[in-house]
Amino acid sequence: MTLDVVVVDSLVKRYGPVTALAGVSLAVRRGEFIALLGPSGCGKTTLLRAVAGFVEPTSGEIRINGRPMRGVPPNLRPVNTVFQQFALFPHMTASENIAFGPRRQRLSPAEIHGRVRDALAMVGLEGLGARYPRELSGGQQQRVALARAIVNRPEVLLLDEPLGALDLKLRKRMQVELKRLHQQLGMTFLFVTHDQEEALAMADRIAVMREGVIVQLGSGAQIYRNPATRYVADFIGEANLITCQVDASGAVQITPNGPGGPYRMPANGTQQVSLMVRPESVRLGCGAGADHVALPATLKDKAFVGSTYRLYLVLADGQEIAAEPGCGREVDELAPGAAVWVHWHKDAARLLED
Amino acid sequence: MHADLADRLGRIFIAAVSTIAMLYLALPLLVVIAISFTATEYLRFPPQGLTLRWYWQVVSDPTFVEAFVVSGELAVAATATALILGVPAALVFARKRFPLSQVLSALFLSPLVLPTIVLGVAILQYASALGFARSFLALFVGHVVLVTPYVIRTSLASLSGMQPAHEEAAQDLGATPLQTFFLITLPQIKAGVIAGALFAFINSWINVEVSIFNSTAQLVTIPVKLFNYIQFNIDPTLAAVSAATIYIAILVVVAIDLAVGIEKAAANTGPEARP
Amino acid sequence: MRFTSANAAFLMLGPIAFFVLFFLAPFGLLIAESFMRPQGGVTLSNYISVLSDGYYWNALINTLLISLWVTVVSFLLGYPLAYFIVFHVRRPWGRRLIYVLLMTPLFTSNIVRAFGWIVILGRRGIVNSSLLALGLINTPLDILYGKLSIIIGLAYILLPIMALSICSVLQTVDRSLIEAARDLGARPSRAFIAVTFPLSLPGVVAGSIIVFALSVSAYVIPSILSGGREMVMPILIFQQYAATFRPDIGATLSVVLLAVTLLLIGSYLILFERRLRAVG
Repeated sequence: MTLDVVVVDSLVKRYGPVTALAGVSLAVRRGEFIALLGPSGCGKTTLLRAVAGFVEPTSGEIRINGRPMRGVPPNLRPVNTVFQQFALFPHMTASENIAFGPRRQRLSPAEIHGRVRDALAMVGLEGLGARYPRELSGGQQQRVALARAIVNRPEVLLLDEPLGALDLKLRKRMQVELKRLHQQLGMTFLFVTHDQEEALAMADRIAVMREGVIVQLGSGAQIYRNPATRYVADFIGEANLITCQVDASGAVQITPNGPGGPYRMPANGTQQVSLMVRPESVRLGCGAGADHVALPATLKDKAFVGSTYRLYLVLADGQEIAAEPGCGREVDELAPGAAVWVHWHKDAARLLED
Repeated sequence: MHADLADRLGRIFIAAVSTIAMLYLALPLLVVIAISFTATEYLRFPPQGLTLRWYWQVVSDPTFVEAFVVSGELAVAATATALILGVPAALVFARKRFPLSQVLSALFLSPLVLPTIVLGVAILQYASALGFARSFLALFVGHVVLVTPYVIRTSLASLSGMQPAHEEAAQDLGATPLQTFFLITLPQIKAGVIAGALFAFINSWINVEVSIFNSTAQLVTIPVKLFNYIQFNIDPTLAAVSAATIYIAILVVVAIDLAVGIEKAAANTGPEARP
Repeated sequence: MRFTSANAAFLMLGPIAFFVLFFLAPFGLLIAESFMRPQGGVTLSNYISVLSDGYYWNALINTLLISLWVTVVSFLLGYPLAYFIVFHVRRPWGRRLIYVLLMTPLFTSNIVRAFGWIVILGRRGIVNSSLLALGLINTPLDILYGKLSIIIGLAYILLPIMALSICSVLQTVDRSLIEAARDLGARPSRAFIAVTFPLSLPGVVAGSIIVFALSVSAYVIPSILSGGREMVMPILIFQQYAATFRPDIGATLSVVLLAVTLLLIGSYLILFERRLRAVG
């Protein structure tokens, strides 16, 4: 048995002139929780639906457990989906909804009964099996949708923005619960979301998508610390992206006429590069030693956000930069218009080409 | 003061005209029902006495009974066929976009607005050319064409109110397309299908224009029988048969109200829902 | 449900086959017949003889004239009724009752409905006997069997369709627009003229075209209520098959009637499509 349960190989999907997937390749390891993250229209849902069998790819291949899936209808694929709006059958009770899959597999009534009971218990809905979907709250409907999918013990559980229909508080709680369920079941989860926080909170690995391709694949921490592109840096967490000039020798000039930095680019004629630094890495003061980059700036605005102040500063060349320097006394006293210095450790920043 | 008066007059005007309109709608049917109980030998309004003898006369006249039977068989056969043809067609229209879908749906719905008398003539000539004129088969095919649009229209309305994700979920959980249709789709569009069947049944049941060209002295539907009868006799027997058809209409209206709610069904009758 | 094209084609096979065999083919044959000599061979002579005969023209004009009146009457009664249903009837049971009243006639045979009018309008009918009893007239009025009774009968049959059409649009008129007009100082009648009526016009137009088209092609009501005194196109068509036995002329007249109807429906579709686009 191979380690990769789903292999997506150069998948392309075109709808007439529109390209939804432009050659996606992805190997999902058995038992991992992987999130497809991107804004709407990036192809993440199309990819999920292609794995489920609702979208027939234009070219490329999907293999599940090594078996090619081309031409295999959704009902014969060893995967199950939790739909965005739950898609619970309104004319069936929660139990009947959950029993729908096992019944299609012609399991014995006793087996079906046991599985439904276990599935209800797993999602914490004991005793609510006789209710119709309309008699359940949004969160409870979500749990039924989950139970209905996992009761079939699929090779991969596909989740299409399953928390999108819930309010913020419930969403946070379901995130924890989904994570717990994933660990408990040891099942492979393929999760589609446009919410980066959700992806960071739950997924073992995140595939960031844009315009039909995966632009970066890695753990949340990896992607956060080492975004591959400006786009990824901007999409995952908050990032200062400072446009810098590159001179003929490859030295990076952070601000025109300002102090040169420690950064260098290969001298290949690139004239511009983005410097990415997270707000929490930006400190006040000149810093100490050659490991730090320090720049003069003017404070434009200040907001208290709880654990820290958030400062909005303007650099000498007019570019804006945000800093989260904590909430010490020296920050307390700063007023808009104040001239300050900001610095960061040189390893806290990344150079990103556009 | 002045404005108040104008507005009040407006309200009174609307209520008055509406009352007239409702009387206008109710009166002919009420009159027919009333005179069907008259004890006189001729038509009289207000009716005198109260008797069921005209109903008895209809029931004991084999030609009327025969016509009721023909109409019933025809309406049931046409409705059943319309369901078999119309529901799958509606399903495809609702769930799949394809190049000719607009043309095809216009084709299937056009009998709603084309002159039914022309449909009757066309079927007569066609059936004559093929040798099945003035037969049950000729009546049957004409009625199927006439009533299938009703099934398609109400089924489409139900289907568009249903989340396609339900069908995907069923397939995702291992159901074949056929299982998906019978276990998930049909239970959810049931009301629309029933309403469509009732619309189909009643429009076959009351049709004259298609039937009249394809009837014979022996093979005659109840509306055609009435049509022929009314040319020569205007008497309480006619009133009794007519009243009977009104009772059936009321039953069907009640059935539709129970199936989908009368308001929803009525909304489906307006030209908005036409091709 | 994601259909494969094969599945869709399979489901469509029956309906398409049936409609080709028993709808398109009969209509095609009818149209072909209108271009045929009785002895065979293609000709325009049927159309020439129909279009050059004042008798047929009179029937066509009479049909259109009657239909126009029917449309006007059903609008004059249908609009207030629709307005009443949508804005004044609050109780669900009241609405239900009115809808039953609208639907029951639609589900009753035209003959039965015409019969009702014979009883009401006849020389010894309700109207005449009441007027005589009240001493308003000395001899019974000749209402039945003429243009007037046809218009009364047809408007009665088509009133529900007009009213339902206007209802469906009035229901979608945004109440907050009417409230906004009131808020800006318009009294109810002014708000109606400035807001409600213009917004409901599409329903009026749609209803009118459909009522007109159905009225042009109505056969049973004119046939029973004309008493042989009025000629309309559908009666003329019927006669070609039942009395004069000229199926070639019958086919030609059918095609003319079909053309008139298609013209009306076509204009309806164009207007309606444009409205759809305007709405978004």
